[in-house]
Amino acid sequence: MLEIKIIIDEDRCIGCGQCVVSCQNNVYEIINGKSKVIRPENCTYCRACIIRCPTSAIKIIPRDVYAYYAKFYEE
Amino acid sequence: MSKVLFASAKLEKLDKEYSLPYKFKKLLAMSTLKSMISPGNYVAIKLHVGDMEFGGYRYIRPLFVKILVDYVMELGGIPFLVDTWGLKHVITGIKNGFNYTTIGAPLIPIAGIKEHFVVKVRVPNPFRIEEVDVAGEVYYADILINFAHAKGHPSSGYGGAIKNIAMGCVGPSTRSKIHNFEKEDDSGTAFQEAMIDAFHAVILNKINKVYHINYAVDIQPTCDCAPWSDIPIVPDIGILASEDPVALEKATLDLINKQPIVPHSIAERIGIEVNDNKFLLIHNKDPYIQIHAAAKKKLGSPNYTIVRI
Repeated sequence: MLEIKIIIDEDRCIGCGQCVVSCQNNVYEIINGKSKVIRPENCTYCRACIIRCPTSAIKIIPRDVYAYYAKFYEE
Repeated sequence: MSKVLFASAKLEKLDKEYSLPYKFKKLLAMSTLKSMISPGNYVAIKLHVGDMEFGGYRYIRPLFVKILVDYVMELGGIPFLVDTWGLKHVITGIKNGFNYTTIGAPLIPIAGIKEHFVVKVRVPNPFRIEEVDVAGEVYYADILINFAHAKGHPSSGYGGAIKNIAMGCVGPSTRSKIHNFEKEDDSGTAFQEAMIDAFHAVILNKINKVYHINYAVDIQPTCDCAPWSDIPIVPDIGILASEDPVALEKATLDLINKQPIVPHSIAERIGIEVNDNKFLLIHNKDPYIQIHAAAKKKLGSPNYTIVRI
């Protein structure tokens, strides 16, 4: 199971909704004029939102994409 | 029995002719590219140009891409480099050395600046996905040269020629669809079968017009998309190439598994040995699933013979 952390820079976000329409897994919603991550568990790290965000406000950290492998790097 | 050309990274004699760039030139001259490319053909070269955070550095060295580009131009083709993730990633690639000055061919986004340029293609006899968004610049190219880096991958165990097309020549919605299969099956089977569907859709309008190359150098444990690199798990192997992607992938994986382990690599820490299925032990996903699935769809043959350069 992928565990993904999605960070939205609210100073940069203009609430245009490109992330909402480009995400086919309904991760985002616009609330009070800013993008909010509502269903991060749905993210597959396809990067459509990053590619289409006009202000480069989205950053995704795929913490557990490497879940099985990551354990080999723990002391 | 399919032929797989193999240029070894090993310098057999202290002579430039035995060094990998020179052997790669010979490999290309021996390949079927000559009969594939006609003067004036638009030749898409798909490769991975590195991660967008500049943490990874073990992607294909630009020198080898230049050699390929020069050869395509010698045959009269019009080469251009492509990769996914839109214009932002192209800028990354230019910074990583894949630019006109170093390569002699333009690098363009495979599906448009924001990845909206895709062509919907139905998959014949699909395992998992019925329709694929094929990246527009590959769909409309006359020839596709699939220049893949052979290395590990957390979702499929291994990523090489098959994955470079399956995930690398499609739009974001298909990438997402394929990744969604990881949620229902963590063995990697569904993911890899979905990859084969995407692969099939991409090559569908290019009968005898796709050539596959695996760069088995810097064989690191994870993908070039990760924002880090680690010590390669096995010593450099070289470059392998074939018009049969199944034979090529099987030959590459078999050679990787026959290699000893590099000291201080993650493979040593895990206790992996010669002849182990290395990427299965690193990622808990059997990378041969994609080969069996592709063979089942008759996209190539797992029976190969290696022709050394």
